[in-house]
Amino acid sequence: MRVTQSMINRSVLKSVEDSRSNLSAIQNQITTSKRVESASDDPVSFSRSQNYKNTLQKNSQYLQNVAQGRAWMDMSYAILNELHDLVLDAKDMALKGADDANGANERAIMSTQVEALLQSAVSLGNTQFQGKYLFGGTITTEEDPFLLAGDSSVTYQGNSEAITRRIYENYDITVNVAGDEIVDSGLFSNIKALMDGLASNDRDSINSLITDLDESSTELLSTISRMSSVQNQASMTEIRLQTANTNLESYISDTEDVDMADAIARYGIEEVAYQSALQITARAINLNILNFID
Amino acid sequence: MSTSSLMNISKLAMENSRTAISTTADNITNINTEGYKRRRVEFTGVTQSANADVTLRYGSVTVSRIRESFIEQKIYSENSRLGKYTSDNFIMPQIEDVFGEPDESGINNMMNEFFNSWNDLALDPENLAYRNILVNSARNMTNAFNRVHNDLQAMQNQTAQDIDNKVNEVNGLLDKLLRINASIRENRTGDNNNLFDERDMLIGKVSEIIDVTVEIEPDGYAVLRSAGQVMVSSTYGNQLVHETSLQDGFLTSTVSYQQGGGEAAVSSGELGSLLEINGSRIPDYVRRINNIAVNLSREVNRLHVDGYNLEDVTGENFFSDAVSSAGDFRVADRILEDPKLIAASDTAGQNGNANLARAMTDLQNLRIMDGGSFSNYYNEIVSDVGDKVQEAEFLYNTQEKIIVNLKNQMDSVTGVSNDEEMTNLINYQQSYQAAARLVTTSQELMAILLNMV
Repeated sequence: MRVTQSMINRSVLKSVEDSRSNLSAIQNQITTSKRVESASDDPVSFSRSQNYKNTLQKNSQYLQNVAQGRAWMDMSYAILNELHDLVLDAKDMALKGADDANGANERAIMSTQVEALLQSAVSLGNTQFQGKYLFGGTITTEEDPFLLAGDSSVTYQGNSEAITRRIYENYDITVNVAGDEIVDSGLFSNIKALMDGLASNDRDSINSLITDLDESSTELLSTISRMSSVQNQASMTEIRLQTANTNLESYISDTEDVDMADAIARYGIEEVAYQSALQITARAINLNILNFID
Repeated sequence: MSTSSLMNISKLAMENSRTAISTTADNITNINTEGYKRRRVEFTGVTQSANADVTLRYGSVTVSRIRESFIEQKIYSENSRLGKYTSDNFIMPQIEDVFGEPDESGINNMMNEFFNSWNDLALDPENLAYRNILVNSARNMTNAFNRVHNDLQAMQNQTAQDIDNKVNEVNGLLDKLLRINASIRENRTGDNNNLFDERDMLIGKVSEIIDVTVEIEPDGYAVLRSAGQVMVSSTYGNQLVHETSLQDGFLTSTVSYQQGGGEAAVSSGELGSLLEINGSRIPDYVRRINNIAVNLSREVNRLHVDGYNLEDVTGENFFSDAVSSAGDFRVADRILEDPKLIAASDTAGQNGNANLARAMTDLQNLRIMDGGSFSNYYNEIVSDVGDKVQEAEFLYNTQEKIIVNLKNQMDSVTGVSNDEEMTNLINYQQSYQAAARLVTTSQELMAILLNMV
């Protein structure tokens, strides 16, 4: 074959350029440690890792929701336990009040002690968490959930709506206990009845309130245990989400990140290729008949 | 045989050698000239007849231009492909840059932030700070959409401008070719080698811009056809005409034949690439981006209008109610002014109700965009663009190799080789010296003859 100077120039230039561009591509991968920097580097991997990232981001939302929901539930749980303790205190008072050893005077004193219990129950019921009432349903800022009237009767001003947290796709948990459930347990009415019974020295009524308060305690305990089971679900979901996220992060890294050992090995190979291309170019373009004729 | 005829033939030999040397000089001078085909000196025998009565037969020397028409044709058609892939490989990465994914300021992340903000609000619907954050992230998202839309529009209009330039360029080349054809025809019998070089170079340039078929007529002029339509013959010259139509700020180009009418069937070459990008690729990406903006704003507004805000008012839109494209995707002015008007509740009079805000976060899972979510649909656009960029790069690299091979094959036949020219030069120099010696000898013979008198 007849080989001209321009053919040699064209070929060596092309191979030098090709080597240079390969070298710079690998260099870039090594310095950024990313294999897929834009969609065109690998459209399939790009789209896969974007979808992983979207799932990861949604899971992070759910994780945030779980954490926030748990804080709300922990707070409610503590208050409900305190309310339950109050019921037990009231029951103790009822037992004491039912005792024949006590007369009208002692019972009147006990009545004021029970009134104090009622007041703390209402103020516990009106507890705020992050500026919002825990037990008002979705009436969280507008009004106190429980209003203690002058005659010591308690009115519920909230609603029975659930406050829910989305902790997974289509999976909501209820994180609040609406105040009407506390009202329904008879907590306020029974304590008020005890207060009235003690004040009016009505032993029979006090006696019957012992069992009523027992019932209130049972109902509150069932509310509390329902809440712990929701807390349990939340922790389990949290663990699952964390595991899922760890997996997703490693998938993303697998699709996007560069295999360093491999990249450095390839860099070595390309470097040799580039050096050889340069060397052969330098020698080829110097070969000329003019070097040999005078 | 006479002494004077010896003198004559020596003179002829010297002239021929000089022509050969000057041809070699031409070749060496043009070793790097694009489109130059090497010239070869062809000698025919110069002999003296044995019979002195018969007149001397003069030999001659002709300079011919080497060509390789098969490879030439192949280069023209591969040139068009190279032009197309070069232009694709130049423009597609710019389109990819417009999307700029993956990046924090990209649409994908902005949509995620938007839904994250709704999720935050769902946790704390009474919180004003979260409302401000939501307004911000919604504005950032619409800005990202606006930016991509406007950048694509600018690129579309830039390609229309490029098409205009290319059409002018090709028209200029066709015009020159027509004039060269005419000169070649006029000068049918003379030495047209330089015109042929020029002709081939022009055809090469035209074929980079549009795909043409080339026929070289026996007289040496070229007939160029684009999709069967004659663009240039010896006397007939056609041109391309570029027209644009403006719709919603987007310039769409049409190229047609000045004569013979009809839309020009340009499928390859730089112009082919530009027409495809201007006519279908960018409009397709814009249509898909618009699709997201319109659907997202509609879905968000559909929910929002029925919700209740902190002022307990219903019936507000979240996004401006006339979103028709990604270009006019905007948060409603009233929401921008007063984030309290963001509805988070689905029931009146419940500040702690976050059902609506949560329903908003559900929109990110809604599979209404061709069976995918908003971000699925968007990522598909970006990975489509990426696919095209990768393809353009691959095709360009392959095509470059093909062209290098073809040019090497061509050069192997028609290119100038220094080795060859230098060897020839010495050769011709020596034959010149020999011819000169003949002259001296015949002169001496003449002198001896005269001395006899």
